[in-house]
Amino acid sequence: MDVEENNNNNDNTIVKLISREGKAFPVPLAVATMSELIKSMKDDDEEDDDEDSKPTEVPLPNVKSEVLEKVIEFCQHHLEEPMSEIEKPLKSQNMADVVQKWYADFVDLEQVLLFELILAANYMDIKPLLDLTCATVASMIKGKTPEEIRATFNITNDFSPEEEAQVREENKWCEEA
Amino acid sequence: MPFSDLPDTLVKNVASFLPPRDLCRFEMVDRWTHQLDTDELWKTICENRWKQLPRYRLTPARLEWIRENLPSMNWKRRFVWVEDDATRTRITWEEMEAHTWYFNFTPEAGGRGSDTLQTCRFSQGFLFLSQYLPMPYRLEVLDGVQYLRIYHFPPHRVDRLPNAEWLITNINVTFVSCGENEALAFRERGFQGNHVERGQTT
Repeated sequence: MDVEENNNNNDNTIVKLISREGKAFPVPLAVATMSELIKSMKDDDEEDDDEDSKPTEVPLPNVKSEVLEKVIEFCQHHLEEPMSEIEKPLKSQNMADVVQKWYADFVDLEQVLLFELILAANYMDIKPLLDLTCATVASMIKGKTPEEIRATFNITNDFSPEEEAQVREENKWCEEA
Repeated sequence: MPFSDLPDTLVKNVASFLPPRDLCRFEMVDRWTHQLDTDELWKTICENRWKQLPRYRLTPARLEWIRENLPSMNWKRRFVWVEDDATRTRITWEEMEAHTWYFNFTPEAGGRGSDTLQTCRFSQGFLFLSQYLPMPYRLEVLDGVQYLRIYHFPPHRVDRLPNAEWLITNINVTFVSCGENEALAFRERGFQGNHVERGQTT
């Protein structure tokens, strides 16, 4: 894996990532292939065309420019300073305690952008980014009561009174301490 | 884009980072989080938690026991069941009689560490200790605390260690229940001092 990335680093190939809005983001191949999706696409078309003169374009119709920019920022940094594995279960509500500072700062985002990054990381198949963003959402849940979780994510309690009583009964254990 | 627009698989990914109590609370948030299929996550939680509890460790034999005794429970309920069972501070008669126990005198009462450490059993109402005649025992609760009573000896207080083993002590003696795997560790310790140090159970 490392060897492969280094090889790619020496490679000057540029790939153009095209966002939903049609905006092109030229990035080195090594950055683009952090995405398993792009990697598999590249592997596929290596076989049929050799005309490397013009950069390959990779359309990403599910990813908005704003989100793609963040994804690229992540991938670029990951090549310089790989993200340490995030331990399960999270041992802190503070992301700076579970991952390097750059990454903790990186996910200090508006919720909407954070959720969109989760979707993009999943779609583009970038495991460290998916772990980071999911862990961040988990850190916003950790240590909170159900009511506080609802408030954090603007969720409405849609249980009927009977259901709520039943859920409480089932889950007595976690309300105790 | 609201949180609830995330597909179930990704929310499960989020949930996989939560410790048990937080996952449980998360499942109480609304109908959607309540119906998420988190059984696999709970199974992983059980495996990790039970590694610290020799008697509950998820060995093939233990898995068999669970299938037989807690068949209709999902892993979440099994987790909660074990948490309750492993922190219960009253020992049952059946447990007294089923467990193997390590016994030692305190140094004050003539104990010499591992030299005087021995195993013993409680059977059919009697304590069997080598070089002693069987001694009748009983369990009683006084002011909310459970004691093991043997003859006129000072009452032996029943306690639970963080690894879910039992610790029964008075000023003269110490009994510790042992899961199979823990026997050696306790044997090596030899119970120096009156109490096995709580929180230091390897």
